[in-house]
This record gives sequence, C-alpha cells and structure tokens, in this order.
Amino acid sequence: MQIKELIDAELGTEPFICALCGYCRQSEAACPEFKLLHWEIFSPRGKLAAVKALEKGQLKANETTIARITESLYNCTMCSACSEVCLVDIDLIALWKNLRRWVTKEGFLPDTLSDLFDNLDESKNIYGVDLIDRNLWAMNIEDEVEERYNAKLSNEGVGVFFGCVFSMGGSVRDVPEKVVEVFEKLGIEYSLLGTEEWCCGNPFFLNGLPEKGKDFAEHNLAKLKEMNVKKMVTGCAGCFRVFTEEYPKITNEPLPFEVQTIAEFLVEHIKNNPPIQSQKAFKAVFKDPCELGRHCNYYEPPRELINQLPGIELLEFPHSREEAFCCGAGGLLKATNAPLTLDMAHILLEELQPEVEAIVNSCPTCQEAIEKAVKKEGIDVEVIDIIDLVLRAYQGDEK
Amino acid sequence: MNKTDILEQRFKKSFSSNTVDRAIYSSDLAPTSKIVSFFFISKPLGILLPRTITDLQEMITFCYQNKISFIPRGSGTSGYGGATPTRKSVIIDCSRLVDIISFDKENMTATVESGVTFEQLTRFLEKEELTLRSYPSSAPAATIAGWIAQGGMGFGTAKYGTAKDQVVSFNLIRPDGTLENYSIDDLDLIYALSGITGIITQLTIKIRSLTNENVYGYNSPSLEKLLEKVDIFTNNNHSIHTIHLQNPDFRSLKQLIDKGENKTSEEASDSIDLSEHEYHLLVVSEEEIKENDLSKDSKIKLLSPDIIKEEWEKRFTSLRIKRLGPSIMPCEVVIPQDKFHTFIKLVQKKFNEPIAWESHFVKGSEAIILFYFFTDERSFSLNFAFLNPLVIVQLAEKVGGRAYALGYWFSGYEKKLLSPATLNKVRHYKEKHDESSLCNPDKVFSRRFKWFPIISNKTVIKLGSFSGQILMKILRIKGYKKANTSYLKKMKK
Ligand SMILES: Cc1cc2nc3c(=O)[nH]c(=O)nc-3n(C[C@H](O)[C@H](O)[C@H](O)COP(=O)(O)OP(=O)(O)OC[C@H]3O[C@@H](n4cnc5c(N)ncnc54)[C@H](O)[C@@H]3O)c2cc1C
Ligand code: SF4
Ligand code: SF4
Repeated sequence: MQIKELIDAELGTEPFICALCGYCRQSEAACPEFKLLHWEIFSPRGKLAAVKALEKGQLKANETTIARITESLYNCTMCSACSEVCLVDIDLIALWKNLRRWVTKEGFLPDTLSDLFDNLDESKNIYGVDLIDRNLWAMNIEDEVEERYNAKLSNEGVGVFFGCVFSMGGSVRDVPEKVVEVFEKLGIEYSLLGTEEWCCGNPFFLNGLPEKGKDFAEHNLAKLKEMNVKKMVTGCAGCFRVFTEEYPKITNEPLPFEVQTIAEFLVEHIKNNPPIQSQKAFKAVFKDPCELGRHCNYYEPPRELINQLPGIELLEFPHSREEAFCCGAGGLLKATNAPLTLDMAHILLEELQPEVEAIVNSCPTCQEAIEKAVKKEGIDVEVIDIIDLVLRAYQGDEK
Repeated sequence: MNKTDILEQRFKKSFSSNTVDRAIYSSDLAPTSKIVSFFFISKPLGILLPRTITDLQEMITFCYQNKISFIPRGSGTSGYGGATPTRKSVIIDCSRLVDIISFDKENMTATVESGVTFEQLTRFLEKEELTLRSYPSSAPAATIAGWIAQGGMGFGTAKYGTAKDQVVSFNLIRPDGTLENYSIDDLDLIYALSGITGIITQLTIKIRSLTNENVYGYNSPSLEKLLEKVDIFTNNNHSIHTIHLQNPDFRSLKQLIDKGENKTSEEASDSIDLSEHEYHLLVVSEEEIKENDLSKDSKIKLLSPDIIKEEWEKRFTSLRIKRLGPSIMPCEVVIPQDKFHTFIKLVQKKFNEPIAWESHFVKGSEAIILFYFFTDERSFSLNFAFLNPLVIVQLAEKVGGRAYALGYWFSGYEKKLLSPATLNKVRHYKEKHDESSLCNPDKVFSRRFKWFPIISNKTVIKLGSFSGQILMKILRIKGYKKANTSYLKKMKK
C-alpha cells in the first residue's frame, strides 16, 4: 500500500490538523515514549510530522524512512495519553493503528510480533500453547469448574472471559482461580469458555489489522451466545476494550450481551453481601489501566469496589485517571522492546508515595509489568490484582 | 570526512542524521510553501540532543571549532522560523534540559534549566503556593528560554510585563563555547534575539505568590466600548494581570469547535452565524474588582462567573480552531494600545472579510494581536497565504506598531523591535564571540545573498509580497480560505 493511498483512505486531513503545539510530547501527563527516547520522531507530534513530510514529498517512503517510522510506532504503548491531551482532538490511536498496518504491509513488522501473530494464527492464543492447555490455571480446582465449562446459563448468570494473560501468563495465572473462589462464595451463577476461549484478538487490533481479529471476534461471540450469555465479565482491561470497542465495529452491530469488568460486576454483589471484618488496615493506590481508563473512559467502578472493602484506605497516584502514567507493557511494547517497558514502569513507580503499601491493578498486563519493575527496583510494596484484594477481604472474615 | 560524519563520530547516540529526523526538525508552527523554501536549505544536517549542560557546552565548542552552524531549539512551538535552518546547520534540541534548580521564596525567584516548560514549573511552584507572573498560551509545551528568546507575551502581561520583565539573571553558552553568567543588565543579549547570541542554559526568573484569580467576562457588539473598558482597567486597576480580547469571528470559530466537542449536541451547526457573536473581553484580577467598576454601560454585558471561569481554565486551547483549517498561517503584531481601533479598522478595510483575531494587553500601553488565516498547506494557495502576515505587519507599521518577533521571516525588522544601543551591543558581541556567524545564522539580521549581496532576505520577501499581492488582485485570489466546517457534519453522523 502506498502511503498516499493510506493517507487518502484512512488518515485524511487529520495529520495536517495537528497544531504542532507539542502538548502531547511535553505536558506532564503526555507521551511516555517521548519522555524516555526524546527524539522528536518518538513523540506523537513527530510521528505526524513524518506522515506530513511523506505526503508533501519531503520524505521518500524508502527503507530508511519506513524503518525509522516503524521504530517509533513500536516503541509506543498505545497508552492514548496523546489522544487525551491533543489540542485539536485528533484520534491519534486510530492513526497509530493505521500506520502500523501500513508498515506491516510494507514488510516491516518486528520479528517478535510476527512470531506472536503466528501463535495467534496457529494456536489462537498469544503464547502459542495448545488450546487444551488454556485450562491449566484450573489444575487444582478441576472438579469444581468442570461443569462450568460451556454451561448454559439462566438469564441471571454471567459468562467469564479470562483472556490469554490471566489464563496462561506467568505471575497472574492464579487470578482466575481466585475469581472462581469469589464467585462461589457469593453464590454467583457463571460459565467459563475453557478451551473454547480464544484470544480476544487484541494484538491484531492494536496492529491495525482488524480483518485478522475478525475470526477471533466471531468465534468468541458465537461461543458466548451458545452459553446464553446475557452478561459477560472480564478482569482484563484489554479484553474489555476489545469486546466493547472493536467487536461491534467488526460485526457492525451492538454486542448481543452486556460487558462489564469483574470489578464493576462485583460492586453490587458486595453491597448485598459485604465482607465483615478485615485484615489489618492498609493504604493502597489503584493503577488506571490505559485500555480501561483513557481508551474506554472508565475510571470509577474499580475505585467503588475497593472503597467497599473494609480496612483499605484508597489513595491516588499524583497522576491518575485521565492523567495516569502507563505501566509500559501496552500496545505490544512488552514484545517489541521489553527494556523500555521496564523504564516506563520506573517512571510510574517514581511517583509512588512512600506510605503506599499496595498497588492494585485491574489488568493482568499492568500487574505483570509493575510486579517485575517493583522486584527489579527492590521497592517494598505489594502489587495485587483487584480480585485478589476482594478474596482477601472475605478470607479476613474466616480468620 | 564531511560535517555530518564528524558530528556522528564525535557525538554518536546524541546525534541523529536520519532522514526522517532531519525532515521533521525542518519546520515550525508556520507552514512553509515550496516556492518560499526554494530560497533556503530547510533540512538540518542533523540534530544534537544534549542531556546535560556539559554535553551542550561540548557540542557548541565542537561546532565552533569545526565551523558548523548551529540552531538552538526549545519545543519548536514558535512560528517565525527562528528554530529552523536556512543553510547547512545542525539543530541543537535543548528540550531535555529540564531541571528545576531552586526557588527562593524570599526574593520570589526560581532558577531553572532552559528546557523547563511553563507547565512543569507551574505545577512545581503551586505545591509551594507560588506561581508564574507572565506566560504564553503555549505553556504546556513552550520552554522558558524559547519564550524569552522569542520576545514573548501572553497571560499576566497586563500587570507583570512581557518575557523581558521576568528575567533576573541567566547563563549563556556563547557561540565560541564559553559559558558566562549574566545579570539583568545584559538581558538585551538574549531577549527577542531568536538565540543568535548563544544558547541559554539556565535562567532565574521572577515568580509570585499564588493568589485568588478573580475572573470577569464582558461581551459587547462594540469594540470601541470594550476598548474604553480596557483603558479604564489598565490605567486604574493594578491588580489586573490579564486582559484578553477576542473578536466575534474568533468567538464563533471557538464556539463551533467547543460545540463539536459535545458530539451529540444538536447545536453543532454547519455554518457560522456571525451575527450571534460579539467582542469578548476576559479580565483576570488578583483582587475582586469593585461592583461599580464592573460595568456601567448598557452596551456591555457582564458574563456569568461560571462560564468565564471555565474559559479561564481552558486558556491554553485557543489554537483548537486549527481543526477548521487544516492549516493556519498565524500572524502576530504589537501595536500601541491607543491605536488599537484604528488598526483593526485598517485591517477590516484591507481584507473586507471576517478574520479571527485575539489580543493580549501589555503593561506599558501596548497590545499584541494574533490573526489566524486559514489555509491548506498541501495546496498552491499556501504561497498566497504566506503574504498575509506581511500585509498585516505593514498595516501595523502605519499606526506605529511592529511584527511581534523577528526569527527568520521578520529578520531585517530589528530596528523596529530593538533599540540602537541594543543593536550595537549585539553586533559588537557577535563580532567578538561569533565572527563567522555560526550561531543561528540569518535570524534577526537580514541575510545577504551570496550571489548578489546588495539584496537582503528582507528585500526578497518584500518584493515577493508586493508582486504576490498584485498577482492576487489580477487573478482575484484570496490568500486565505474560510474555515472548513465539514468535520462537524461528520461528527453529527
Ligand atoms: C498553542 C500555541 C500558543 C501560543 N501562544 C503564545 C503566546 O501566548 N505568547 C507568545 O509569545 N507565543 C505564543 N506561542 C508561540 C510560542 O509557543 C512561544 O513563542 C514559545 O515561547 C516558544 O518556545 P519554544 O520552547 O517552543 O521555542 P522554539 O520555538 O523552539 O524557539 C523559539 C526561538 O527561541 C530560540 N531558542 C530556543 N531555545 C533557546 C535556548 N535555550 N537558548 C537560546 N535560544 C533559544 C530558538 O532558536 C528560536 O529562535 C504559541 C504557540 C502555540 C503553538
Ligand atoms: S499512545 Fe502513548 S506512547 Fe504512543 S504516542 Fe501516544 S502517548 Fe506516546
Ligand atoms: S497535542 Fe495534538 S495538535 Fe498538539 S502537537 Fe500533539 S498531535 Fe499535534
């Protein structure tokens, strides 16, 4: 695809509307890629300037040019901080996706992503493991969950979509088991997709290849429909975004069921059945995941949930909600430049107030990235998934 | 070895000559047309990115010794060509020098590195119940050094003066690589000089206590009435720090954009109805303005404090109207306050079309007026849009005004902006520390063309402007277009 075609068909006038104000690169809550790499091309403004130079013929779309633009596109975490601050409301995330699509078609997709996409094509998950192994997280509770796989739900029940990272990721693989435990405690009717759960397709969507995510959307939606799902819940910010933002675009119609985060879903249940007393009181901050917060404009439900748990004093990062700093692992950056992910997490941790005892996450990718950075930097703070926090509150009752 | 190679060899990862990097550092806020850029080399040899002042000093010394021209750059938000090349040069991007060094509550000063932005410093100071005195509406990104070098104005200038009035002392690496600390007495070595005297590394600027902001808004169909109000405020009320005026065309465009923000709003209109809109004055005072000073004239409406407060909070968003471009050719002029109305009438007569403008009043009875001309940088018409700033400056000169800054585009107009004593001092300094004119060449003082040295850049631009205007008349071409509102239709769908 020629860059001119891409601009005419997809980008339109948008790159030219950029006011060059630089708010996306320099204001405090702006681009983490630029904060760390600091050449103009690694800023949102710089990326747009490159597109404009291509369109105006000041730059030729040769190997050197595309390679440099590729480098800048895959050092980006798709955190959407740029779109949030953009003076003229350019949908920069849409532009980055289109540009990633262009460089991919030009043969510049980074090798690590090419491998990841092969995994998705072949095994329907990001790790390339056999579908049968998707249930390994349930090893210890196989008997309990057996009957939940693909079970038909009544209208009150919920379908749970765990996503690849929770199901198979390293340090967060224990979270699904905790979800089950909480749901059992609260007497919630639920079904699991088990080996029928495919990746939500996020890597393809983040790479501007929705046509490749289509199979994934269709498969997951069909399976959930078969289970008579009226409400689907997920603990993964990326899956939430893909279901609510990408799937309706793919199917050209609204989803046939409601989608909630597990956190939001639990708010009502906990109100009706609150944990009585808790563990020792402690101070925690909630880390807004970019794909939930800025992408979906979704800030309050996780906070509401935490505020219902006894003994937790909820603090805020100095930059939170729309201004939240990225953990560094989004936008496929973990696969394309893992050291940069760690550096971005470092910027986030630099903000951590000394009195904070726990960082609460509502996204497995944030959880993993922050855990890793905390360990590397030897910071004395717990990094915990929000479901884990809920479970602990109930376990506190038992003690 | 050519210059690029030696820079590469010496500075390795702090230097980039990548073609993409060179292309994107070759422009600033003002779009440049192909015809105009034919006259100079706009792509830099490469970009140097110092992380520390020591790095920076080494870079400047190296450039000096190897006779490589260099251009200081902050955040690149200016539009006068001051931070872009005109001949083979390397750009030195100083936006990484971002340390806030200290603040002094007793003397009310803050000392910062040159790449610190206004927003960064404000957030820092506010924790200490302190704040800035004057700052530009590009505060979230503009660097403090860039603003001083540009000779900037903006919010706060009605009470606290322009960029010039903020500086207490500064450190400058001179073009020959020597670092010197200067007091306020030598401010004329950097103020409004587009960085031709070296690179500012550190500045101590004045700050103030954080006070209540009492924000007032007035609307009127009569510019004259609002200007009378401005006169009263500037003469009698010394707690007012900001007086900001917008014309009905600017209001219309801004409101159109703000309505578009609310995508479900039925109000989003396809066309701009100018009759709905009036001149709008925003006044910010550190003390409450007395009731009977607020408005006594039936032709002036006092606006609700809530609306106006929100407007104040969104004060860095004027350029949002660029969405209606896609491109804007900005033009700023400084004029005597008492000639404001005469000047606007001249502009109206000349253009005979709605043009959006906004203005800040400045201590010492001056006003800066910023005009926005819509254009499309992809089209040939950009060559004509380019003439508008020149026309506006000519009109300003008729009433004793001048271009707001020099940079490249208004190089040659230095006598209008700087006193003879300052110019003498700068020339003498350049001879001593930059005899080959390596530091930001062709800026401030008009470039002489090698092949025909009696012709200067200023003359070429003036001739171009003159013949361009004749051509426009003959061909009935306008140098600007109406704001494009089709995006609102898209949003409504
Ligand atoms: C949205 C928007 C609003 C604006 N509002 C205003 C306003 O209200 N008032 C106003 O005055 N301007 C305004 N501007 C113009 C511009 O932002 C200011 O002039 C700004 O201060 C320039 O700072 P900068 O860091 O971007 O400098 P640059 O554009 O990078 O450079 C400006 C000049 O300073 C020189 N320079 C930069 N750094 C140094 C240094 N360290 N040492 C020596 N010379 C240096 C450069 O060579 C150049 O000549 C606005 C621009 C935008 C995009
Ligand atoms: S999405 Fe985030 S990392 Fe990417 S360009 Fe925007 S602000 Fe930078
Ligand atoms: S904030 Fe938006 S308008 Fe400003 S430079 Fe960035 S992309 Fe351009």
